Amino acid sequence: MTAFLILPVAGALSGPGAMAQARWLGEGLNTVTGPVDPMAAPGTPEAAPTIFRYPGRPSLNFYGAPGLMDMPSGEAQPDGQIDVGVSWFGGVGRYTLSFQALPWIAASFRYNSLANANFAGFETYYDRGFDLRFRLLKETDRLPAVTLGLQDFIGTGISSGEYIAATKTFALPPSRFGNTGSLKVTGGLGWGVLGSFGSIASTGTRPAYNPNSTGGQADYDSWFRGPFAPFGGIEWRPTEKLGIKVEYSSDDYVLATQDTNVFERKSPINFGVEYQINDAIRLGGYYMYGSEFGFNIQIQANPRVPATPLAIPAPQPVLVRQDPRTDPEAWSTAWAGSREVPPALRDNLIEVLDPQGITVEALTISAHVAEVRYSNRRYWPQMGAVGRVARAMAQVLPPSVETFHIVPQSGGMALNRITIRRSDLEVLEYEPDATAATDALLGYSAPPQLSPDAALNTGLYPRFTYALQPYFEPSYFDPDKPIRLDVGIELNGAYRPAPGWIVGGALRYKLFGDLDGGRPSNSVLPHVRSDWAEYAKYDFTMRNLYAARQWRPGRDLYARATVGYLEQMFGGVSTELLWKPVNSPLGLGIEANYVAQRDQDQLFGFGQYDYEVATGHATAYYEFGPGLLAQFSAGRYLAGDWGGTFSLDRTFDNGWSIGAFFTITNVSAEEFGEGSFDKGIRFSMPVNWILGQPSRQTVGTTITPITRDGGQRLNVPGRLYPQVRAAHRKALDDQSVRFWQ
Amino acid sequence: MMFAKPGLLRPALLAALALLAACSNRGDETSATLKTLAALQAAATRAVSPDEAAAQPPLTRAVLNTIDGEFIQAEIEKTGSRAFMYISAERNGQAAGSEGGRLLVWRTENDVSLTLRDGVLIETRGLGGDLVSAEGGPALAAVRSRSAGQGAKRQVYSALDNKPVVMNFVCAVDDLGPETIVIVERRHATRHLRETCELKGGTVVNDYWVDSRGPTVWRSRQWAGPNIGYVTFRQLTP
Repeated sequence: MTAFLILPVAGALSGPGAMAQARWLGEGLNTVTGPVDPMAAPGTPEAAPTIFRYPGRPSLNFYGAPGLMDMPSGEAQPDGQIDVGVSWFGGVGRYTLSFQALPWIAASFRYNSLANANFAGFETYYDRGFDLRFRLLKETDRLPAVTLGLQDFIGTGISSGEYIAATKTFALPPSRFGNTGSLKVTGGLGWGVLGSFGSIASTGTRPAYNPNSTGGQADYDSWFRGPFAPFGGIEWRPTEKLGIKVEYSSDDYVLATQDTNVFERKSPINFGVEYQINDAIRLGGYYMYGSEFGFNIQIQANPRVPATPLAIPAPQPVLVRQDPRTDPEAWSTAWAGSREVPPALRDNLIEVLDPQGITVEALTISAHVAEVRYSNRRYWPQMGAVGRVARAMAQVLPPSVETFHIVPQSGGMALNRITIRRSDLEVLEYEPDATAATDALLGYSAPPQLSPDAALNTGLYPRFTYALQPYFEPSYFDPDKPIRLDVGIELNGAYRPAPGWIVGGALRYKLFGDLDGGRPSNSVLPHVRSDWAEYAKYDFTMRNLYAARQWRPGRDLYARATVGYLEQMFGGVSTELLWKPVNSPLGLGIEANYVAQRDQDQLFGFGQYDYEVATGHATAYYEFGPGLLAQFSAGRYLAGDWGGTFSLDRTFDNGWSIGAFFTITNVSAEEFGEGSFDKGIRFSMPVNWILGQPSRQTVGTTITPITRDGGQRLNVPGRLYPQVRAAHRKALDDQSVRFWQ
Repeated sequence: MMFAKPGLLRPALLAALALLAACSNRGDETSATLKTLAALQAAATRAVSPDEAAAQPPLTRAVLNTIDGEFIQAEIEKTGSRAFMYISAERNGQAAGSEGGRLLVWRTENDVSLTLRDGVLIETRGLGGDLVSAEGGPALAAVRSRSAGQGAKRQVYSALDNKPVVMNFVCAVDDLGPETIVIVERRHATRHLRETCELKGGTVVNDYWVDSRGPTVWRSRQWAGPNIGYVTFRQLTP
C-alpha cells in the first residue's frame, strides 16, 4: 500500500500542465493499432487498422502476472488490463486477479492453496497475497521491457519474492505457420522464493517466514534480502494463438517439497503449450519440475474495450431554423409574455425526450433563453443525454430562443448547467471536428435556483416505484471455505412525495446460502461488523427503511439528511454536506451520523446490542490524471475508533472503476486481529459494457481479505459525491464524443 | 431493414415489432410507400439468412417504380445484414457545413443512420463503434470532379470508454476508368474511383461508382471503422 504514496501531488486539471501530467501518468491514448494481418489483401477487413488491439500482449504465468510458468517476465499489460488466472500443478493452486492500474504499475491479489500440506495445522493450506509490479523500461526497438516486481509482499507470504526481469520480443519472418510469429526472450534475477534455487550470491539476511503472524503489513525489511538467483526462459509464438514456453526456474519450492511433501522437484526446467481460444481466454498445459503436469486458465479483459460496443439509437438530426429574413414571422417573440406557451412547450419536450429515457423536470423560457432541467434514466454516458436534450430543444423551441441551458438533476438536485448556443448546434453537426469544437463551445457553470416562472413537470410527484430482484451476498477467504455466498430475492420500493424527498425500503428473503456458517467473532472491539455470520442466520429481513431529503443549500453546496433503518446493521440519523464546484477537481464533504446497532434479526429492534455511537468523517475527493480518483477521510468509525481512510480508484469514462483502500485507526494490530488493519479492493462495472445497450445500471463488489471491527464505516444509501461527480465537468468532458450521438 | 447490430443477436420478433411500428419523422411519405417499403424490408430481412435466400420475393424494378422518393440499400459486409434507408434530413451547400455539397442523413426504421456527403460516408449512428465525424477527404474531391487525386483524410470514431479515436489517413484516389453497373435491372454508365488510405501499416480501400455525367454515386463500398467494417451502398431510386 505504501506504493500509492509515491504518486505525485497533481496540479490543476486544466491548463498547460494537464497535458504533461496526463502523459506522465497515462502516456496519451495511443489506441490506433495495426492490422490483423499485415499481409492481407488491401480492401479486406483484415488489412484495415484496428483500435486497441494487442495480439502480442503478454501471456500469464502461474502467478497471474506476465511471464512464463513460475517465472515472471519484464513485460507490462496494456493500460487498464484485467487478468484472472487459475493455475494448478502438483497440489499447488493459485487464483489471481491482476490489474494494470497505470501503464507502468500493476497490482495483483491472489489466493493460494497447498493441498495435502498438513502445514501449520491446516490440511489444505490457504494463503492470500498481494503483488506489485513496476515497469521500469518500456520495450523499444533496441531495449527490452524491464519490470521490478514484489511478489506476495503483504501478509503471511508463503511465496514472497522480489525480482527484476527483462524481456525482448522479436518478430519472426513469415513462415508456414503465418505472418505474425514472434519470439520472446526473458531473463531476470530473483530474491526470496525466486532466489531459492541456484543462487549466485547474497544481499544481507532475510528474516524467516512465520506462518502464525497476524500478517497484513508490508514486509519491507525483507525485500531484496538474502540469496539471489538467475532465471529465464523463452516463449515462441508461431502464430498469434499458439505459444510454446520453456523456462529455467529459480524457485526451489522449499515449503512444498522439503518442509512438507506436496510434490517432488526433480528438475528446474519447465515446459508448456498455450492456445488462445478467443480474445479473452488462453489455456495452457505444462510439464513442471520433471514430475508434475499442470494447467493454467488465463482470462483477460480490458474495461476500455467493451464486450459489446455501446450502440445508442441514432438521434434525430438537428432541426435548422429558417433564415429570419425569409420567415420573419416565425422569429416573432410575441409569445414570450404568454402564460400558456411554456407549459405547451414543456409538454412537447416531454413527448420527444421521455421515450429516450430522459425525464423533463422543468422548463424555464424567455424570448431568447431557455433552461431545461431533466433527470437521466437511461444513458450511462451523461453527455449522451446532454446532446439529446439539446437536439430536442432545437426541435421544439421557437426560433428566437438562441441560448440553451441544460441542467442535469439527480434526486431533485440541480448538478450542473451546460450552456450551448443554438446556432453552434446547427452549424457544427456535420463538421469533421464536431467533437473537438463542441468541447470548446460548451460552457459549464453552477446552476442557479429554479426560477419561480418555470413550467414544472407536475406529473412527476408524488411517484411510487418498486422492483423485485435477486441479490447475491458473497464473503471471501474463510480459512474453512474460501467463498461463501447467500442468494435471495429483494423487494425494494421508493416513494417520492416531492423533488428531493424519498421514502425508501428493501425487504429480503434468503433462498439459500452459507454465510451463516462463518466463524464466530473473536473480536475484542465492539462487534460492529464481525458478527456478520450471526446476521446471516435470518431468512426474512428488512434491509433498510428510511426517509431522506437532499437539497442545495447554496452555490456549490449539496446537502442530505437521512433517518431510519439505514443499513443491515445500523439505524439512526445521517447528515451530509458536500462542497463541489462544477469545474473543480476537488470536492470536500462532511458527514455526521448518530446510530444504534440493529438486532441480528434485522427487523425493528435495537435492544440486542444496546450499542450507540456517533460516527462521521470529513472527506476530500480529488480527480486527476487519466481517471484517478483519490479520497481521504478522517474521523470516527463505528467501533468508536479514530483514524483515516485512503482510497485510490482508477475510473474509466464508461462507468468502470477499480480501486483499493486502507484504513488506519487508533486500534492496535493486536486489538484488530488478523490482517492488522482494514483494507480491500473494489470494482464497479456498468451493465451496458456487456449488453451494448444504454443502461445506467452497474454491478460491483468490495473484496476485503477479512471483515473485522476496526476502521468500519456506515453504509448510508444515497451518498452525495457519486451523484454529483457523474454530472460535473470532468466526467462530461471525458465523454464529449457522446454529445453528437 | 434491420441492421443486426454487431455483437447483438436480434430476434426476428423484434424485427416484426419494428415493422408494425414503422413510422417516419418525415410526414411527407404516403402510407402506400411505407407499406411497399415494409414489404421490401421484410424481404431484405429474410435475405440475411442464406437458407431462405431462395425463397425471398425478388427485388424488381417494377416494385421500386411504385415508390416515391429516394431510397438506398446498405449492407454491412461483416454481418451480412441489409437495410433499406430513407432520407431523414437533407442539407445543401453552405448549410451542409464547411465541406458543402449535398448532405443526406439516411435512416432505418430501427434507429440506425448513415450520413453521406455527395455519396461519401461521413457519419454512422446507432451501430456501436460509430464513425462520429469525418472529412470527405480526397474521395469527396474525386467524386465531385470524377477524376483522380490525393490528400489527407481524418476520421473520428467513438470507441473504448466513450473516447474519440482519431484516424489520420494518407489517401490516394485512382481513376479505374468507365464501368457499366446494373442495380436492380437498371444500367448505369459510371466511372470507378478507388480511394486507398494508409495508417499505421493498415490499409483501407473505398470504391465509388459515380455516374459518368455526375453527380450521383450509384454504388459504393466504404469502410466505417474497425467495429462496423465495410458497408456497401446501392442507390435504388429514383
